[in-house]
Amino acid sequence: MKKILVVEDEEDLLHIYGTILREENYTVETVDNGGKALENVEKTEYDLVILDIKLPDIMGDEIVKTMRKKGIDMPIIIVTGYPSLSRSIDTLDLGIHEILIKPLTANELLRVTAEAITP
Amino acid sequence: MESEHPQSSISEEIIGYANVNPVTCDMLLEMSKITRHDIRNKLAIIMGYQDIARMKLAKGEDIETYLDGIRNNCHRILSILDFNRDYEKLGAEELVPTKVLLSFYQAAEFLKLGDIILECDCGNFEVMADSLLIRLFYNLIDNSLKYGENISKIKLYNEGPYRIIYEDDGGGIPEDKRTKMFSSSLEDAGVHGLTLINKIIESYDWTLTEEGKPNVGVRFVIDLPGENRRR
Repeated sequence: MKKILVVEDEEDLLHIYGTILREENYTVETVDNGGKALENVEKTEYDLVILDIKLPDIMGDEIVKTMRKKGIDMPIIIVTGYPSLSRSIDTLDLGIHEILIKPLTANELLRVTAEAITP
Repeated sequence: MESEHPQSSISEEIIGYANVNPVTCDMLLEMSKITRHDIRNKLAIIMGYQDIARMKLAKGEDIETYLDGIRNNCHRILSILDFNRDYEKLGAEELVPTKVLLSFYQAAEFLKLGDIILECDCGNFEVMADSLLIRLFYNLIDNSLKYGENISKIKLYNEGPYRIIYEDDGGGIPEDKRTKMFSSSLEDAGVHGLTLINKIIESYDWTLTEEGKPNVGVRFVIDLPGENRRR
């Protein structure tokens, strides 16, 4: 089973993304801050990381930069409630698969997840 | 007659406002940005719960939890909008002599107190304030009810002519939340936390400190400058 890490500080959304992805038989781990996310990606080989951009401790794009510097090259989807922020992130340079704008539907989440995981 | 170009008339209004008070305009723009973000988040939750409810319904599973989640988040959007409306009022009304006791009990009328005892020993104590004083007390009481953990009593009293004390006998504020509580960042302090309380206090030129202890309760101390109090 494909393993996904979801990083989101809004508890309800963490639960929602986890439930939707588990319904499609993905294995899902969830964390609510950037520090835990960085710890997890160093320990575990995920097939995908779904990352909120605005976390309480570290901005999502900073997490991606740190991951890339450490040679962690797993696929990443960014989710944001700030549409204007999405334009300032260099997706190509950071190897971000896609930036999704909240609110997003279950279908959109599952479609982009499948695309990002499929080699 | 209504403008044919409502958007441009709104822009002119904003520009005009900015010319009058750029600091207030910056505050409102920051608030507007946070409001949009928070409402987007709540809509994301509502849409997410709706999607999950549809999935569960197709399997014949119970969906009541998800319907509750939708309703709760609709209410949160309403709270955000109410907060925004009050935020726009800051500094807009004239300050008039206001009885603290009346404002406190008026605020409590909007909340479900249950068995919690509400005490106000302010007598005829008056301060210079506007209608947001009710909102200030509402938010303090609301926070006690939401986060107080088994509170049985809320008390408001004045210590001399320049100090108002708000106390409850709940769980107090944990140390880890205390640091962000008085943050000037609207996001750090949280829309439903002390942000509006802080802004109202600032607009009256008062100061607010929290001297409570975990497991003893909150103790908010409001200090008033002499000239701002009704003589």
